[in-house]
Amino acid sequence: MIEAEGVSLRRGGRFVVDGVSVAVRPGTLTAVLGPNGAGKSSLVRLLSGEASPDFGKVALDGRDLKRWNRHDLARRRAVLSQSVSLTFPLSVAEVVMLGRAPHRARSTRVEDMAAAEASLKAADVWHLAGRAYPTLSGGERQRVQFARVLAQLEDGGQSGTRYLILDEPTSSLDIRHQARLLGLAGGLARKGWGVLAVLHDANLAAIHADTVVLLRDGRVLASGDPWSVMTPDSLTATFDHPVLVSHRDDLDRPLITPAAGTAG
Amino acid sequence: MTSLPMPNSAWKGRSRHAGILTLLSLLSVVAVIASLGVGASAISPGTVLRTLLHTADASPRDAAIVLHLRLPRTLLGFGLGAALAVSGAVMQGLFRNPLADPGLIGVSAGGAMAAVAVIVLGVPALLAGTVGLLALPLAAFAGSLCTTLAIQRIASDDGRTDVSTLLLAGIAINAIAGAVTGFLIFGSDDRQLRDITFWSMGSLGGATWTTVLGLAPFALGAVFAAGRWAGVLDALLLGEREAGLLGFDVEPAKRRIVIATAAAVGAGVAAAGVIGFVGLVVPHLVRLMAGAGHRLLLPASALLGGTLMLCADMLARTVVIPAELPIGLVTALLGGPFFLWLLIRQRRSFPP
Amino acid sequence: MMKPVILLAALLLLAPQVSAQTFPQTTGRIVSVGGAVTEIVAKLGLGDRLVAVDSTSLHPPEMRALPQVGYMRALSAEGVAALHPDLVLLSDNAGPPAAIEQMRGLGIPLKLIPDRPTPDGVADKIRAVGAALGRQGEAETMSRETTDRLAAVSRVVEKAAGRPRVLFLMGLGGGAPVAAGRNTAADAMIRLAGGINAIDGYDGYKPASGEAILDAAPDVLLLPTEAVDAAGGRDAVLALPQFAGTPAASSGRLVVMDTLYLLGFGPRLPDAVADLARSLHPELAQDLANDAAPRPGGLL
Repeated sequence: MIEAEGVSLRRGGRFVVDGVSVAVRPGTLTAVLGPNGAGKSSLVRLLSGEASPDFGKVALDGRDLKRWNRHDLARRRAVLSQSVSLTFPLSVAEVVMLGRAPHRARSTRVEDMAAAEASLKAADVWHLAGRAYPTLSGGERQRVQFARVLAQLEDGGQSGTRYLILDEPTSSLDIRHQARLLGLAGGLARKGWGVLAVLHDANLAAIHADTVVLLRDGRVLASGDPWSVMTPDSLTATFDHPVLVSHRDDLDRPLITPAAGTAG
Repeated sequence: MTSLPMPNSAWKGRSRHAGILTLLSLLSVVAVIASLGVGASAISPGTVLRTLLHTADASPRDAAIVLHLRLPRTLLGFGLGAALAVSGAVMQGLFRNPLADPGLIGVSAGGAMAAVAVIVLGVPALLAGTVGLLALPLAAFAGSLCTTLAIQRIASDDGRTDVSTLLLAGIAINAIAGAVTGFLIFGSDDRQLRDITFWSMGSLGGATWTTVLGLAPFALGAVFAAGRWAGVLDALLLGEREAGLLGFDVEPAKRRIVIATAAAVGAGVAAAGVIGFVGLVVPHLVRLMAGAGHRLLLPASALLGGTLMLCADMLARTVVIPAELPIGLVTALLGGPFFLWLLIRQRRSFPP
Repeated sequence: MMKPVILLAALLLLAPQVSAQTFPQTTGRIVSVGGAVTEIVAKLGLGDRLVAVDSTSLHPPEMRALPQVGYMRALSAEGVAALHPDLVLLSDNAGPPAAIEQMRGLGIPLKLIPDRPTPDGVADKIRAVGAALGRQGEAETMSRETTDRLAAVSRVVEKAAGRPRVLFLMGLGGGAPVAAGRNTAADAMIRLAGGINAIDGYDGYKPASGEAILDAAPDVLLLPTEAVDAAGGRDAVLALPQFAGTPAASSGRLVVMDTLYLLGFGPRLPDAVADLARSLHPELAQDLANDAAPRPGGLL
């Protein structure tokens, strides 16, 4: 489990994350929802160990992130960033192979290639393997980066629970690939991985997440299973905009609809 | 698992890497042999070989030309070409900018400033003699390193070096060093002015065993150190954040890369003045043949850089026998048009 | 790589012994570096022995047809070695130092000739070249005649009524023209010919602004031939706005001379000084012709 206990992060004289406690549990897909500037990306940096909290602490499997060896940590958790650009024309296969960097000392090239191949197929970009990364569309790039992140965590089940942190992974994807990517992430969670996804689309969170965290002004407004957290009141308070929540018989998840017009 | 049906050779196979490196190594050997055999004095290839193998029946003068002039010059040329090309590749990777070259971090401007100071202000009488002869390279080397360290210092805050600040600080310090150089030039006499002009166009003509043995450790050290950074440089292609997330300790790596580059290029500036375009163009040539992965890019750049430098030097010292052209003219004359072609080509394939 | 290094160390130790050769009197191949040095070699009648010269060796004109070792401060050791010279005469301004060290290391016989832009310097130069070539006698005569003629020119110049202010400009190309300040060959020549350098605010050659030129109030403009040709001739130069308002422009006094002749400080120095003095002091033309002309039987 990656566990943040009362973490705060100060940037430019104000707290962008303010006393947040969040857990990324094995076997669970946690979605983080919140308006622009709520501190979602800062929370991702704290959970990944890229930033150290000014208050509180973040631990992975009980050990403070600061005390993890970088390579060990990189084999246990991976982060899919919002966008990754490349200036030089690496091929898609080469980009995905970069995900194998933390394993280089202990795995063979054949193992690395197998891991990359499996990840390329899982992310539905196997057919792009030979293409130059800069020639891809935004959505294709996002899927390639997802494959890279998967390859980073591929380790033959050797080294304990893997944690996958996705920062708006579906922003450039079409409907099919949104569902596919989050479905795959959910599948990994059921395999025992801990997955946290920052999402913009409340319905995607409602459909795919086991746990939903609502974040606003660097604080957690609510967290729990979708039905208990995603109420009209809490969502309206989170987004500062009237939100309707409905139910469909053929879907056991809440359906979220923002109201028309401007907020009062 | 062992036979992977990859589409359109997505994996740049080990065998292809080996093939490219073998080809470039062969070219390097040819260039070295040619460089030892070519010069103003007509010395037969047989004589060159026998002299090198120490079965010397050559005249003392021919032996001296081969061992005293051409051998150190060839080694220096190859080493500098390799160091400049690798430094260029490393800088382009670090700055994630295909137009980056080692000059960006102030190496050339700082070295030039110090060299011009020595030319104009002279060497203290105390240091005359052998030290006096080495004053210019020593000063150029020190000037290169100090300038780069200053830029690095400015761009670092709390142990983190911001690459875009590094770039901007480099531009500013380059401008300042250029202005100081300008002041020194203003105070120079006609003869010093000529010296500065020729120095700044670069030449391997000053190669002696002292310069080779003194500077080779820096050049070779940087080339081999760069080889160890292939992994982190590859990861840096994705950006600093991604490299950190992949488990690389990016900050110390950046610092070491900048300093090693400064040492290597500073050694080059010290030994041969300013030789442009090798660091800029060679990595691009290699990427065209072999892709952008650093595991191949770095060694291939070293070999091709050394080879091209020797070719340029052979031209420089044979086209106007018994005089010689500054090598910087040759590299700029060949490298400039190639670089333009590259720019135009890149704009066509990736419109902004 | 080790063997050559050891061998080289041995060569370095042996090098000084190799260079102790004497110059053969009649058959030697000479490479001469430095305009004045080359002129002296030619004047000593050894021009046909020259196998190559540097790019500043422009006089006598036939020197321009010889192979070039490049600019005197950018020599190539192997290039010089390839000419198999029996003697290399180097102005002590020649360089770079590394190339000269390399030539020494190769056992090429070198003679450094002191090259100062002063009248005494010319005499020393002539003697040094003569000694290097085994022509001490002729050189001694030549150097004494040069000194004597310079003295004669000086005596005439001393009689001049005034001292015109002379502005020497290296060129007129883009931007501010580059003018000769103190401690330059041009400054020395102006003084020898009975003028005053109009610029006394700085050392060396520096760009001078239009105001500085106006301030200098030159009576005479002194320019190299190439600069005047490039600017489109005498009238064009005198009409340039930079010079408007100077006494030189209003009286049309522009002296044009060949750069090497004027600034070379070679054996032609007395003639150059006399020529310049004639231009600065037209009233002395007769005296200069009578008292300071070359003696008919002399070497010069």
